Amino acid sequence: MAGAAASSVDRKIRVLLVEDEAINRAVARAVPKAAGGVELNEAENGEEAVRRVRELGTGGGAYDLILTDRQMPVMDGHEATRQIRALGVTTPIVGVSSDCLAADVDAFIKAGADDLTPKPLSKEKLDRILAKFGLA
Amino acid sequence: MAASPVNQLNAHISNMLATGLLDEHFTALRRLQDAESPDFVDGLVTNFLNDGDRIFGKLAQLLERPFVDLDVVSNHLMKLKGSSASVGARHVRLACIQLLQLTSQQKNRDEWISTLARGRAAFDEVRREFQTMVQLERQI
Repeated sequence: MAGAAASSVDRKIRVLLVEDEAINRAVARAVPKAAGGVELNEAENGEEAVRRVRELGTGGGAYDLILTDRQMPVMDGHEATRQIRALGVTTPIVGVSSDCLAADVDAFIKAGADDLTPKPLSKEKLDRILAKFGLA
Repeated sequence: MAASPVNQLNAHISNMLATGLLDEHFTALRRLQDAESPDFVDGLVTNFLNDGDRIFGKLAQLLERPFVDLDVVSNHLMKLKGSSASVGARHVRLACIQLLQLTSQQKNRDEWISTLARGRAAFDEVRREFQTMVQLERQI
């Protein structure tokens, strides 16, 4: 389910972070700054994430990577992932959760995600994710 | 001769890491701080302490009710578990995990209250140490 890699060396990698907690967003916001070459957009819940993805479509303005928390108000990460996949979007989706047992990974993959990484997001984790999906 | 403020701060943080109050995620946070955002870590710590205070207060209120809504309790604990993981507050994160385990077991109110009290004590300890850290930073 790998999405399109950035088509130009100069083009920033567009990442959508879906996270309801302000502290976690603040930490995640600082990570792309350290990694460089990443443009981070934020959504505070799954419903907002689905709306943003739907608005961008699958063309050149689409996200290169979606990072999503699991437990959020309004719509959780599993449901957001299902709905994004139902739009026909093949962008890599990685869950970022404080629950990363095998059952948690399975649940995210069944919802349509490509991977799950434990919170908190770090430069090293983001680098690995970008490399895994050919975005680095 | 007294240690310099920088050395005192580093020693204090090293001690918090060595005792397990903090984990490597706090170290990673400090690496993310730069000249453009010199108060990045302080800001996160302040928000975490305010959130933690609010959540523990809320949990204590919830446990006083005749009927304890475990879904609401779990939601609060998940939030605190996530934010404590983000700032590297290891003991608080572990306390949240212990409390979350109670939500899936048939435990009586006394066990809940004593486990919550231990969690609150872990939070108060990291709060004291974070406050000392901030004071040391201000001397630099």
